[in-house]
Amino acid sequence: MNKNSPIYVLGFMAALCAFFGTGVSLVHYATSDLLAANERLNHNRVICDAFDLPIDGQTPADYARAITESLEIAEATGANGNGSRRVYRRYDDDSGQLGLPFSGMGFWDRINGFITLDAERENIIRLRFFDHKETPGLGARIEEPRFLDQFDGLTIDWDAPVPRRVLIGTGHNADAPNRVDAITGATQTSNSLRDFLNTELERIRAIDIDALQFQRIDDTEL
Amino acid sequence: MPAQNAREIFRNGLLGDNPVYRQVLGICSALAVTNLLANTLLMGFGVIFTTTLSNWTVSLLRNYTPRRVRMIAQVLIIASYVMMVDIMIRAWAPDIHRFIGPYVGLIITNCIIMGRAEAFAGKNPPWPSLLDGLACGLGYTLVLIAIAVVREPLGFGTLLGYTLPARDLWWHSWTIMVMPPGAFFMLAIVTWFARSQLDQKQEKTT
Amino acid sequence: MNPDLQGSPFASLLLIFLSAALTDNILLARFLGLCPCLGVSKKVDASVGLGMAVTFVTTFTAAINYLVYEYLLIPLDIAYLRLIVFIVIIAAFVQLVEMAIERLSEKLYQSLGIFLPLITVNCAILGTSLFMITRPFNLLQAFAFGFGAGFGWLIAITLIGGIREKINEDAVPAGLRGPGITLIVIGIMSLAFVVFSGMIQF
Repeated sequence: MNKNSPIYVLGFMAALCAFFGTGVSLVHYATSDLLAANERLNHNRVICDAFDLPIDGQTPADYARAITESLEIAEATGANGNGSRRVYRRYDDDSGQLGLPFSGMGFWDRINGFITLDAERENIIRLRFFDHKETPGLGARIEEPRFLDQFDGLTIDWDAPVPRRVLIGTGHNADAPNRVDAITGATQTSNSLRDFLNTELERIRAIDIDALQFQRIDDTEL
Repeated sequence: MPAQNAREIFRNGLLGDNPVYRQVLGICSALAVTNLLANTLLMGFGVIFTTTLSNWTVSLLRNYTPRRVRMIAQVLIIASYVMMVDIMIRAWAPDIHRFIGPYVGLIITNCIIMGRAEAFAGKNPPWPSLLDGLACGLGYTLVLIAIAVVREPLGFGTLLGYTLPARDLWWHSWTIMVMPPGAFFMLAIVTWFARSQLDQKQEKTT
Repeated sequence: MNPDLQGSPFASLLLIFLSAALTDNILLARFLGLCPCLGVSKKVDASVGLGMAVTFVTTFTAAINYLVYEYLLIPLDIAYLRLIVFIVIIAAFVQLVEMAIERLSEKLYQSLGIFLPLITVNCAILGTSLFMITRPFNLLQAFAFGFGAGFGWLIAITLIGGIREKINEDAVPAGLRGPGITLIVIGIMSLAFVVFSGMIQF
C-alpha cells in the first residue's frame, strides 16, 4: 500500500488520534472520581487554613467536619460581575470573620484564591490560593509562607483609590500599613495579583452582609 | 544510518551532541526553571522520562508513519503521554502534583523531545532510540543543573533551598539572576565554555 | 489602562492587539518560540519570512481553536482534551497551508516553504491558543489576540535578525559565535521589554 496516498495518511492519523484520544480519555474517566475528591479536599483544606480552624486529623472527613462545625455560608448574588459569590462566616465564635473566594488573571492563567477578613472588613486575616499556574521559581512563589504571611493582619486602606487599597511591591510609602513586598523577579505576577485583588476587594465591600441569608453547610456538599 | 552502540549514543547525548548547547533545543523551558535547583531537577526528571518513552514509541511506529504527517504524529504521541502521566499523578499523588503541575505544559512544548523524535527515533530501531532519549534527557538535565547551581546562589543566596553560610552578613541578591534574562546570560556562558572545550578536544584528536 | 471588553468593539480589539504584540510579547516577555528564533534569525530576510508565516498560522489557528473549544469541546464536556486537539489542529493547518501554497504560488512556496515544518514545533503558536481560552474573548477578539501574538513574534525576530546582521562575528570569541551571542542579545532585549510590562491589564 502506498504510504503517501491521501487515504492512508488520513487513515493513519485517524487511527493515531483515536488510539491516543481513547487512551487519555480512559485515564481521565477512570480517575475522575479521585480527581474530584482531591479537588474538594484541596478546597476544604485551603478554607480551613485561611480561617485557621481547629482540625482533629488529616483525613478529608476531618476537614469537612471542621468546616461544617465552624462556618455558615451564603450566596451573594451580583457580587462577582454578573455572577454570584459564596460568602463564608464563622458562627462558632462571635468574631463574625468572613471568608470569600477571589480570582483573576495571573501571568499565565487564572489564579484562584480565598481571603478571610474581620467582620468590619477593615483588616485581612489571611490570604491563601486554591490553584495557579505561575512560573515555578518565579510567580509560583506567591504560595510560599514568606509571601503569604505578609497579609496576616494587613489593614485595607479603604480611603485610597480602588487600585491602591492593598499595595504589592513599591508604593509611595515603603512603611504603609497596607503594603506587602512583591516577589523578586516576578513583577508581572505581583502586579496582576495587586490589580485583581483590589478589584475583587471593591466587589467584596459592596456586598451587604446583613442582608444575606446564612445557612449551615450540608455535609454532602463538602 | 546504522544503529550505534550504547556507549556512543550516551557520549553523543551527554557531550558531543548535547541538546542544549550543541543543538540549541529546549531553551524556553531551560529559562523558566533554572533559578532554583529543586525545580531544575523536577523538570529534568520529567524530560528524561518523556524523551525516553516518546522516542521508543515513535521508533516503533516509524515504518508505518507517512513522511508528510510524521510531525503531527510525534507531537500527538508526546502530548498524550504527558497528559496521561499528568492525570495519574493528579489522581494518586495530588500533593506532588501541586509542585510539578506547572511543568506539564513546559514538557509538552519542549522541542528536545520533538527534535530527538525527528532526528533519531524516526530512523533507528526502538531500543537504541530509547537509549538516545535517555541520554539526551540526561544531557539536557546536566546543562540545566550547571546553570541552576550558579543562578540559585547568586539570585537567592541559597542552594537547594538551604541558605548559604553567613548569607546575611555579606550577601546582596542579584535580582537579574532570578529573572529570565539572567538565564540567557548564563546559558550563553555555558555554551561558550562547553563549545570552546569541545573544540580544543577536537583539535587535539585530529 | 483597562480594556473594557464590553465597550467600544474597535478600541477593545486594538488594545488586545497591542497588549499581545508589545506588553506581552510572546518571545521577549513570555519566552516562547525561542528555538526556531535562534536557528533562523541570522538574516533579516529569513526572519521576516518565518515571522510572517508564524503570524499567519497563529492568527488563524487561534480563531479556529476558539471555535472548536467553545462550540465542540465545551458542549461535549471534553475540555481536558484541548491540548491534543489544539496540537493536531495546528499541525493540520500548517500542512494544509503548505499544500495550498505549493499549488498556488511557486515563488511563495520557495520563500516560505522551508519554514513551515519549523512552525509545527513552535511553542509560541500552541501557547497563544492556550492563553486565548483563559481570557474572556469573543471570536473577533480571539482573532485579534492571535494576530497580535504572531505580529509580536515577527517584530521580535526581525529586530534580533537585524542586530545579528550588524554583529561582526569575527570580533566574537569562537565558542560564543552563533547561538551564544544571540542568547546575550535576546537577554538584553528582554530586559528592555520588561518596561512595557503591566501597561495593559485584563
